Amino acid sequence: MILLFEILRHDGPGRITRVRIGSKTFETPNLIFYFFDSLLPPPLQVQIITVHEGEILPCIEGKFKLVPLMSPLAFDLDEAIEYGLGLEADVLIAPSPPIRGPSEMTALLLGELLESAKALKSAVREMPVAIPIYYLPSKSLRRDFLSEVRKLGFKFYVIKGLEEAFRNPRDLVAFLYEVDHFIGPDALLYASGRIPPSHYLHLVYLGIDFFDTSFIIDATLRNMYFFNGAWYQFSAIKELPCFCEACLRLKESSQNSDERLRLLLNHNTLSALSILKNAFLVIRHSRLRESVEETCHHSPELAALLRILDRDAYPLLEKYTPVSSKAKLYCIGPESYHKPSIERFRTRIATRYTPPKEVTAVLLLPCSAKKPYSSSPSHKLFRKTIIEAGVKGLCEGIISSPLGLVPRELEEVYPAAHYDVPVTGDWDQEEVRIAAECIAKYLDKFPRNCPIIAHLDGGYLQACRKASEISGREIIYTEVEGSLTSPSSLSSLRSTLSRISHQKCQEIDRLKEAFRKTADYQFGPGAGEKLAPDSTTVKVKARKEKLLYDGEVLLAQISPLTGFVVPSLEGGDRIARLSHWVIFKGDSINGSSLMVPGIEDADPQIRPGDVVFILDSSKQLIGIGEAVLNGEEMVKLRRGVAVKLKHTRRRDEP
Amino acid sequence: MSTSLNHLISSYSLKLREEHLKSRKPPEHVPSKFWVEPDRVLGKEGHALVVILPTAGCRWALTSGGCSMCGYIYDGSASTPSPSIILDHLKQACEKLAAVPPPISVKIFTSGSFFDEREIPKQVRDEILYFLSRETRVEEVIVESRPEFITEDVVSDSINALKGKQLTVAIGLESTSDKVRSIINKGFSINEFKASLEILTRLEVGIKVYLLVKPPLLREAEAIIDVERSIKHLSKMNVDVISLNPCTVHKGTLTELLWKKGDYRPPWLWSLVKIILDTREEANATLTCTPTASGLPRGPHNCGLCDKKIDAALKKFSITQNMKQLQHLNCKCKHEWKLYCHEELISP
Repeated sequence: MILLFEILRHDGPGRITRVRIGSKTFETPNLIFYFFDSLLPPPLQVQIITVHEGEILPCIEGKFKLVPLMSPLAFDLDEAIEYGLGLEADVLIAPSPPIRGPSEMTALLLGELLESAKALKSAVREMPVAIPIYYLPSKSLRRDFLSEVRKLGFKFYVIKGLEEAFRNPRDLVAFLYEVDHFIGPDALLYASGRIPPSHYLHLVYLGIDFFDTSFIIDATLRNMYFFNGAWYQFSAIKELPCFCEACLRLKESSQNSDERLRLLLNHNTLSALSILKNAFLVIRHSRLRESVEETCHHSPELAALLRILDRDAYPLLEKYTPVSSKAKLYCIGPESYHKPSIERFRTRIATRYTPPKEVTAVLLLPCSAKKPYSSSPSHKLFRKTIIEAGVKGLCEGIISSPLGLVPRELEEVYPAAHYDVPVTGDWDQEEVRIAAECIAKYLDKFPRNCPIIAHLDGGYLQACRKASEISGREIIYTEVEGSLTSPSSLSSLRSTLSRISHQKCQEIDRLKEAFRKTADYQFGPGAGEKLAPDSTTVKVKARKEKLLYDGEVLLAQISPLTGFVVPSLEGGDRIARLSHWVIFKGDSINGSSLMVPGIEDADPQIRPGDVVFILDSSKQLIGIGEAVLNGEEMVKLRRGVAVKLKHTRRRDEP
Repeated sequence: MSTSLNHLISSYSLKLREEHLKSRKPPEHVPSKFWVEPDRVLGKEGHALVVILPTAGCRWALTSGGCSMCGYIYDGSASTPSPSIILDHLKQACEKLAAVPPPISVKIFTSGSFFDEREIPKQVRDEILYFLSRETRVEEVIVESRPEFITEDVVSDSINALKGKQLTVAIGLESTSDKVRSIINKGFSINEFKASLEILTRLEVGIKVYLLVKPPLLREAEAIIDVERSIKHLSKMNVDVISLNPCTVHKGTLTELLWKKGDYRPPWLWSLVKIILDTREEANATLTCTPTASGLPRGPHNCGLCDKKIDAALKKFSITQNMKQLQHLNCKCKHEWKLYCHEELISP
């Protein structure tokens, strides 16, 4: 019996995994139950804990038993193992002494733990073993310990003391970096101890797979009732708001105190479990981050943690965040400004976007509620006005919060066409600052003599003026009267545009530029030019499907869902070696997915959802697909689907 | 267990001893300490006169730092007292005996080993025992010693000096596990204990064994299992009384150092009840448990509401050996205790 697991889906570091032990399987995130029947005398089975598997709770004994073995300070390994096996454990947790005392003592005790974990592993080869790791306040002790633990190659970690870490969110972030660095994605993480259920979503988002019921039991013993993310004194509730079976019986109020306690525990455990089941659901529907943002309003502690995460842990979060999603991307409040998918967009525009070669002028416009922007009534009016003004070679940048600046060529790319914000016209300081920086970086990409025109009002205008200050660029502002689409405002836009010198007068091929800029956005600067040189043409088919051809050869199309460029094998040949490559261990692939064990190496830049190129050992392109995992995981994991294949090339094909 | 952990524990203790021993008084200023308490005397309900003699203390504590939970040495004298001081203490205590109902035992404690001749010279020891032999109402004399001082000669001398009164020797074994004794820094092995046991059995001396409930660095559940395991082992040896000693936090000990950091909690009283209920049947000896400092943060405690009740039940049981005292005890905190036991094993 060995423990196998695969990551089925990501949403940030948060994930759904399928765990298999022998013939039994279950999925995470999940809750581990203490075997705690309040009416039984405490037999020695006190430490059996089980993973929720069935549908009905009151039978607390689930299918999977984790048994922590007793301290090597007091028990021989044989004695401890015999004990664990006697309890029919599915997973043994390596015996650990309590990690206590001054640092000198702690270090020695950690040494004892490592020794006994090693010994256990070789003693029970046929059984899965988990190892406890500790959140220790001393960073050096922690790092030394984790780097030693890494060498032992465990796949199941019991993290102890994480609830302490909430007091110091900065250090919690540091610890999670260490866990990611030393342990990586190829392991299950169980945050043991009194983690309040209200914190589950945040921790799931950070990649924790399991929690246990200790907090819930403790709160229940204090007669607390859990509902909708908050705890209430049971006796102070006039009418129970829940209709679970336990609550229906509690409403009868004819039980003795032990029975009441049991029902309360039952309800509370179910309520907590439903948070994890919700986590499951929102990961499936790519709404985890949004749910985490909502949860911030449950406590200042959670809000602080998310802010610090976004500030200090962007690389960690971004690494696992899919590049696209079918779900709407809501940006409701300040906790959305720095979410990884948004921050990544801003970063990529700053580092990967280059303007078309010959630009007459830059026009800055406000965003619109309807996406893509050009389909909105306001942008249709702007377009009409631009044509009336007769100006060609105009490059358009659309200002938006919190995306900052969206080049017109990329308006259909995720998340530009997928986000939604409450539109009130009022911008806060942070929004103005973010947008101003993005605009300034965008303007820096154009020659100094390129005129910049802004047709803006309100917060957009504020951000633009600030950007002008930052970049030192002069901006020509149109005269706005009433709204931006009022006849006089549009007339001001028209006359401002027509005053620009028309020497170059080359119209930009917007469709081809969309291919180029999107390819740059996805694969890095230069990819666009390689994929879509001047010789190529773009055809728009029914349902606005955009296809890129070189002569008769189809090179790529734009996915209507994500706005991403999906190259054909011929298109892929042009850019496959630049980035986003996955090196396959064999010569030819078929089927619908590429599994992790078949991968020799992968570009660490790859993110879940990215278009990736499968190369054989001689670096020839043999397939194109969509990444399920990030590049690092493709190399480090041992199981699961890495890429969903879209095109494959048979061996005999050229 | 690695010897380095044992070394570290020993070195912490040595450092602490150095600091705290300074506060000890010269022998002539150590107040005499004695009291009478209800106790089990030779299988019957009776009373014990407890006398603490002001010796210079346990040699093991002085040389190696001693046991991680023991602070009794600070009750002793700064130097070896003269024989007359020791005897004065004893005589003063024995004046109390007249008012005590029989059966009576006298417990002579030294905070060290009664048989260690550097602590109590042979001549003084003989005089103490001779004095007690003439106290006609006393049926049993109990002394304490580490195994290394229990020799055939010393024990036969003592039996002779007592002139027919029952001698009982109490040994602080703490656990039958060498591993557990090693983290206590007990400094002797189960085999040394067995050798002493053999001598005492041969000479028909009463044998009392102390088991420590929850030494530092053991979790609550592990401590319960360790003690139950020890009682099982002892049931196969010739032991008259097993005394469960819940660990208390003495000043100037490693236990205190950990306790102050929040890294140690004395055992729950529920654990003591559980151990007795679980093992009474197979114990094959008188089982006693008379906690000190119970209900206090430094002693074994429950929630604060039920501590007095449970403590009284344990003490009552110790004298009567009647299990009824311990059955049907209840309090809300019993659930908390169970959670604590669960949780500690899986969380730090």
